[in-house]
Amino acid sequence: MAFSRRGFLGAAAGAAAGTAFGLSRGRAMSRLIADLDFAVYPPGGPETFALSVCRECPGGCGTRVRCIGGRPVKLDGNPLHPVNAGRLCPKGQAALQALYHPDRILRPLRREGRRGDPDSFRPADWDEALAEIGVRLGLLRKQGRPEALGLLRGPDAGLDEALAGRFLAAFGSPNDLVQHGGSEAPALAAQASQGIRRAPVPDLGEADLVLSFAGDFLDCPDSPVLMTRAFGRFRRGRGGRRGRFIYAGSRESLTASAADEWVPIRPGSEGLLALGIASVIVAEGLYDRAFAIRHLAGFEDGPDGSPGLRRLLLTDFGLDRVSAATGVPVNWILRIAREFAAARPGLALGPRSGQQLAASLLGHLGAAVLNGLCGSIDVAGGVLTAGPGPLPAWPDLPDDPVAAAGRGRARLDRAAAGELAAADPGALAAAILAEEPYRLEALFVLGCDPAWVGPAPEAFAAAMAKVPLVVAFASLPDRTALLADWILPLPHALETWACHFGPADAAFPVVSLARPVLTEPLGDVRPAGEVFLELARRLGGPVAEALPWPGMPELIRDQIGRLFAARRGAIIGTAFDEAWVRLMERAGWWAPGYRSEEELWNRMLETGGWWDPFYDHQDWQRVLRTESGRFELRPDLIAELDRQAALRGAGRVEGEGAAGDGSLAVHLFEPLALAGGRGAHLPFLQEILDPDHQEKWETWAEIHPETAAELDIRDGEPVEVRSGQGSVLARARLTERVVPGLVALPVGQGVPHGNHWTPAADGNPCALLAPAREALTGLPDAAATRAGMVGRERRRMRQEA
Amino acid sequence: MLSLSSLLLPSLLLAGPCGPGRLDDRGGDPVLGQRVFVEAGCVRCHAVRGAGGRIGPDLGRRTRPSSYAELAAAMWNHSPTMAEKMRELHLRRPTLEGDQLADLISFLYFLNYFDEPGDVTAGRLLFREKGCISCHRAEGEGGDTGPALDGISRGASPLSIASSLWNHGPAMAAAVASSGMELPTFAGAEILDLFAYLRSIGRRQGAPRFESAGDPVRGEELFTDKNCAACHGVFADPGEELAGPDLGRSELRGSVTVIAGRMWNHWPQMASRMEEVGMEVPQLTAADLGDIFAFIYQARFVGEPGDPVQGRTVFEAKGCAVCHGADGEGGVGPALRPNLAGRGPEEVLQAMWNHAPAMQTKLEAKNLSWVELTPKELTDLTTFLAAGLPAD
Repeated sequence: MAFSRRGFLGAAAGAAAGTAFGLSRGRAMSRLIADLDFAVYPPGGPETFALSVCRECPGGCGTRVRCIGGRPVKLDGNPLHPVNAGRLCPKGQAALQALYHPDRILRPLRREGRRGDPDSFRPADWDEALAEIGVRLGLLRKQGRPEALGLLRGPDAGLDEALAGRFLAAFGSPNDLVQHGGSEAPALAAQASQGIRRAPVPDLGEADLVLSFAGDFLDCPDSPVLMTRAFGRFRRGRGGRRGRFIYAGSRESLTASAADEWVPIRPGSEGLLALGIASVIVAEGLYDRAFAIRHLAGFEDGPDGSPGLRRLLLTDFGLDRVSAATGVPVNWILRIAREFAAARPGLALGPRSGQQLAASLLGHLGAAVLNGLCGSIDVAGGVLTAGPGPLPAWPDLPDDPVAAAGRGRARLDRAAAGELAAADPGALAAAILAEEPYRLEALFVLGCDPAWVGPAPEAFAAAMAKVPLVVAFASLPDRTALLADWILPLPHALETWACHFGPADAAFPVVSLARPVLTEPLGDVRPAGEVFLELARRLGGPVAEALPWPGMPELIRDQIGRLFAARRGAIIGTAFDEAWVRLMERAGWWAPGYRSEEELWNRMLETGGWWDPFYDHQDWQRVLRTESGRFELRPDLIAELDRQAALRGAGRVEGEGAAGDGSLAVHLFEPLALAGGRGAHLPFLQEILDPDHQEKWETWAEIHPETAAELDIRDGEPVEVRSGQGSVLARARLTERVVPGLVALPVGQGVPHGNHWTPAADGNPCALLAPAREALTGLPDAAATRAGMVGRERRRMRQEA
Repeated sequence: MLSLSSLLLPSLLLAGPCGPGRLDDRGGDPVLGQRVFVEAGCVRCHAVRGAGGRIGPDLGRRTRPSSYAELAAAMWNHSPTMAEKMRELHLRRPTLEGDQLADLISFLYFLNYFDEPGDVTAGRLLFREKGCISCHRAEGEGGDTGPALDGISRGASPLSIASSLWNHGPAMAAAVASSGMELPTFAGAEILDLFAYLRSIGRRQGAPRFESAGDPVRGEELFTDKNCAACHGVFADPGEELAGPDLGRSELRGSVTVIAGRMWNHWPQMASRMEEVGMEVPQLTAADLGDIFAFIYQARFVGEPGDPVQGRTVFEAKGCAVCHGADGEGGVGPALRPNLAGRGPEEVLQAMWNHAPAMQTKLEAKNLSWVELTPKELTDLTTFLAAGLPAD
């Protein structure tokens, strides 16, 4: 889509004449824009600056907002903020476009017509919305079925999200799901090896050598700026010590292109390669013996004769097998193994191609094995485990038999069913559709778009139709919102109080605090937290008792009081302040730079937040919570996953060069601009979908020239990629960035009906995904999808002929 | 000179929920001093225990000054060297305003209260070399005469370990004596390393508990209530006979833990003296110990009051009168009255600091060397300038 300033101004002027009902549709003039009583350019006035927090991704960077006449006109990074230290990624820079977006939802919308039709919504007021939702929820409580309420939320870690979780618990539902597909496999691997279900944090900045098994930590991390800064330190920020970076994967991603060496491998073979490298390290005795003796479990055979990791690696993951399966020459595997073992420390990273795209557990276990063998656990430059947040747990819930009974029911996605059962919106959708083990009557969706970006978008869309009440929180009309019964408009980050708790990529706790930059929001919008507080009030009884705060500012103030009582950390500040706090806390002291709750509050508002940079390394009781108190290598699990993978994919690894219809492996990835499935609405981001290769404004399909030749596909040609589940129209890109036999597609482009600035989608790559699941975990089997690719024009011509 | 009640120590130390907040604004505030250290640019040249610039000396690692006056004199005497270095590096000398110099000095002074992190490896070695392992168990080995030390909380504060040392002192001394061994003593930072080791092998019990420093007001009360005052004074009347050393005037320097270690070394003498007078060993909690140390620290920071009469002598002997006039009426240098009269000594010191570059230029023009001052001279001089100049 071409976009010009003149076009934009014309659209805005034309739209201003419209009337505000319903949502915009297609590229037609939005009627909502008439309500946006805001000229495109500010009228002038004094220049002021304010601090805020970026909410365009889970990173939560601190921002510095330049305002003219009280209106935000530019965002930059807050130089004191520990996540971004003054930097801001393109998503942050583009956040103003989200604020002034002509398609913003500026009042509650109620669906009155066909589900999914943008014209089926009519504006409503908050009283009407909350009254109806409150009555429906109250009925569920009266019927003793609180478990029939569900909440699906994204990976953002703000107070609104935390409060939503508290509401669910107080209401009495176990169905509080977080959609964070990219973190599920690493969290499960940590569960298996460390007894902690939380994705480990790579201490990238201090590593000596990083070996990434398709872990695209620069493309789609939870916090792009934090990871980019860490990578900068790893490469050139340590007084001349430059870390070495090897990337093994089937696509040369942005991350891979920053590596010293890209090792192309067959799709889905990351885990095998990691274990093959581990096998060499064991065979040659290169592992950290002292660490193995003190902290590893499962290395030697068990007393019952069960094979230990040593035997498993040497028998099942020999060089010949691994080389044949991965396509990596034997001498490369040997070299990488020796390099990794010699590094102090070496850091192995498992696969990650998106915030919302699942990865394989075997890949993450392979990386964990390498880190364990080389002693890279809880040391500087290894993998760390984030500690508990700075705030104490919520107060105990009041006695409430109805809620207690509801919370005791099984979760619909069965994530709590076993040690390694993954949280999965796909499983939630299946449970809703089957009405097993019970029927879901109401669903809140907050901070994610599971009907567009996720493991099973079509199943989720179908499931939504079966839920009598679906409430979506949104500020722009994504597909999930369009399928909902109610859309409750969220404020932009600059229109509301912010209390954000740092990204999952950070080992340190951070609390960002900011007051609204715009004192009057641009529409009749409310933060999700305010909605849940109001619903609790309307429900009354123990639910209201559990959420007693009159509003979010009061709750935030209460939380800062708890932060003060935690007696740790400090106001965010300069590098000296950081070093000072670390030094003090390492010695057991706390000298925070504030003396009262009031002073903490004021200083946080002045600087942007609070944090605790001290990390207590090698606190084994905290980071090794397994039954043995050791780092479990889990040979049993590895053997089983390997066996299952072999059963599922026999022959898959032999597919190179076989490019017939349905024979292509599919690799989905989230480009930085669209990571997490967000960003497609914003033109700045559409311009930089793949800045290295000038991909913009449309979906493209990367394919190796040899494979393309077999399929008779030309570069730039419109193609259709079709799997057993669905199809996508895209533009073919012939490139050696992908291995033969693979088609790689970006996720998150387009919106279902298009809008002012974004083209309507020509299909959704996520809809290609096969429904196959890893039997042990329920994780989507990323390698199971096969697809074919055909040129659209030539097919049409053939059909016509 | 600063009075006890005007001291700032609580503002840093009482960061807890019950802290009284900032006291007299003229006292200097170490919390604000930390900000001055960054904002005035000191951090560009100086580090504090490794954090910061490397051009000037590390202010957290040099010989520990024992009072406000000592720090102030060190800064004054260092002024020409600093000016030269700043000229060389084209750095602007910061002019300090309001209470900034007092804040800065108090920050630098109270750095000493807090321990540096010890060395775990050295601590492990000490635990064995000093014979602790003969009686205490750690990391699965050692004797069982004393309590096992690998069960303490990993997040235990230095104060809680120090208070355990103190409270178990009599029993331990008796046990050591009965076994024919000598009570181990600790030199320098050895006690820090030992504590670091014990904390590292401890068992995790919830979130780490970081200790803020104590309350000097409560510490002063405890000093009497716990009978410390029966033997020790803190800047007591020189004529008063004390059984133990005057803790204000003694050369007892270092962080809380280092002082706790020296108390430990001193333990046999102290115990026998207490036995002689029939005094029981007071039991001290970690908070008690922190408060008492805070009181001693505060008192030492204040130091002894300046003497305006002696200050007049310094004013004349150091040649101040040559430029500023015999009665501060001005001459080559600016008039000191009424500009300085009636202001606090710390304000006078700040005015001197800001005046230092101009003064240095004039001295160099006359081929005169910088006027160095001892801490006592500086205290007397600032007291004289603040209060002893004749009224207009």
